[in-house]
Amino acid sequence: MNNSPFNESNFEEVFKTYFGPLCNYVNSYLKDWESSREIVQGTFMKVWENKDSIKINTSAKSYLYSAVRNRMIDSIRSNKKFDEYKNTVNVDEADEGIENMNSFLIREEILKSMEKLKPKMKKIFSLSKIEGLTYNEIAAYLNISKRAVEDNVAKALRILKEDLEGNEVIFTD
Amino acid sequence: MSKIKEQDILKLLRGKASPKKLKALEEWSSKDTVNAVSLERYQRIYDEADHLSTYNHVDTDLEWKNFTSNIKESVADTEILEYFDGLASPTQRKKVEDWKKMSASNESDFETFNLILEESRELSDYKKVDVDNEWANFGKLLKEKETQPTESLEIQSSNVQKEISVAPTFKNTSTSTVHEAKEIPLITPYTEERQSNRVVMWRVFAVAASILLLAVFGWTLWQNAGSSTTSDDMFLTYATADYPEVITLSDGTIINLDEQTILTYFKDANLSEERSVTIDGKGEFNVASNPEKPFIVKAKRSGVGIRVLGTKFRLEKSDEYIEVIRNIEGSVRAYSLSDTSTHVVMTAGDRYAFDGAKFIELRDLEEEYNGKEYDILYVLDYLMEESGWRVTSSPYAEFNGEAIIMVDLDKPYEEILEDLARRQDFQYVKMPCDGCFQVTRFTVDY
Repeated sequence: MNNSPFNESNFEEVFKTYFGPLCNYVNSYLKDWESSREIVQGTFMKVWENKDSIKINTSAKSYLYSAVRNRMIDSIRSNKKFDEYKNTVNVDEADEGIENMNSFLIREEILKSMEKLKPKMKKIFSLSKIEGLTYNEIAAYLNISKRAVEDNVAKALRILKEDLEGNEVIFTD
Repeated sequence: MSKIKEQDILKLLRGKASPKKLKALEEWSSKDTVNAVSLERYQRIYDEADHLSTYNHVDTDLEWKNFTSNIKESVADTEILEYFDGLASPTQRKKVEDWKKMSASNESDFETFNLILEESRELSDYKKVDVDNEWANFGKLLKEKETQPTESLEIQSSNVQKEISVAPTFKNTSTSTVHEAKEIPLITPYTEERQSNRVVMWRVFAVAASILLLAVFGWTLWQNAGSSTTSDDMFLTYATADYPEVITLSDGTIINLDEQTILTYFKDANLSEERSVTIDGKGEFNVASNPEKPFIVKAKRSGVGIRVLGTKFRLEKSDEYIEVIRNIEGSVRAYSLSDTSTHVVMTAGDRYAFDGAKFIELRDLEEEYNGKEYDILYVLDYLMEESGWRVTSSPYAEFNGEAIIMVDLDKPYEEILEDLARRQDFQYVKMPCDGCFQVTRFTVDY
């Protein structure tokens, strides 16, 4: 057993890194943003209360993922409004989704990295890869050539890749 | 027969063997096929050795290094992008795949590109959280908890969370939250007295809300026709009576509202990050273009959301489905409000129905579209025979079973191909030669 990965000095950083992805992770099951937010907030509250006594041999990410997931399952079991989701969350597969959790972390990091793109590049990447518009549609929409659209998306992709590769949170368990 | 030595063979190859040795060599060679083959090999080596003076030795390690670096440099980011977009020709695809296999680093780059593109597609459903705000809220909660010494952690946590759930500082994109966002003092210790006060307060609110509801109901009845009523500072409501009406919003969006339809819409598009309207009924939307502010239509009765930046589409009447969307211009993303992962991206001409759980593509009726049903492979054969085109298939296009499509074969050939390309599961690219096309994507899920 190792020491707690949570302490007063790193708690803010941990909170700000994982709060958004965890809320989105829970919301992907519950389809209820407020409840999802409450579950994540409650989990962090519990972790804060017990930060000195938590002894784990895993990362903060894995611990938070498991804690949030368990709290979500408890909510589904105890709250009738989530009855329809009882079958969608497989309670027996506790480790079903650390990869799933990683997806939400990656999405968060992509959004953060997109903020570093030039406004026009960000807009083009967003229209293409998030909104799902074709290159021709974007070209017509922004009155630029299709080639310029493609070049911008490719450059944005390169920048996002280089940004993401340096992210230790995503690529560690 | 005398014994044959290597020197004898060498003499033979040089043409310097004595007649006696020559005869012995012939006998040795004809005696056994192994000997014959061996002699033949000596002859071959001897002949090729003559050319060694003009043969340049190549440093293959160095050449391999040059070759791989050339491939790495020659794969542009746009080619990688086209690969993932399904727009690359078979040659380009092979080039990218060769580049990927070239090194672990390339493979890692490839996987990361793929990961970013896959996750980016899911970002439209991802909510960005204001973590600074959430952290500040969390700090307030911690202080609040410190003032609640008598209750257990779980109970305290639950109560505090209920309080925070109406926190005015939390950003929520839903219309109802925008309406309800009010400054409420939050952090006061939870006590029996406070609970009692809150019950009284709620009763007062309940009475006030009832009076307000009656007033609104009376107002609506009195209007009984096209009317604009202020719902609060940010939203307005417009209701049509027994005839359709046209309404123009502050951003320039024009909406043809059908009869008996209620529209709740933003008063000023500048006041929020997106332009959100709720419709209870049917109508046609001609959305003013604004790439900065998505226009979101929430269809109240069907539970369908439609997200656009600027386009023209219509919510149609249907006895069969709870919602039918016809996209006229541009592209829209229609999704289920209860499960945003259930969605469809519609391009111009698409018509989709929502049955409460999924979106179903609807094909136009024959009288509206002068087409007939054909197998898609028949249509491709027809195009090749009639137009002289050369239509080939990418090895990556999967032809699974039959696909029946509605096509008007009397149309110009280019338009037929365009009609095919409107299918989400069909893509083609024009090849460099005249009249050459390649089907790059065609998958049918049965």
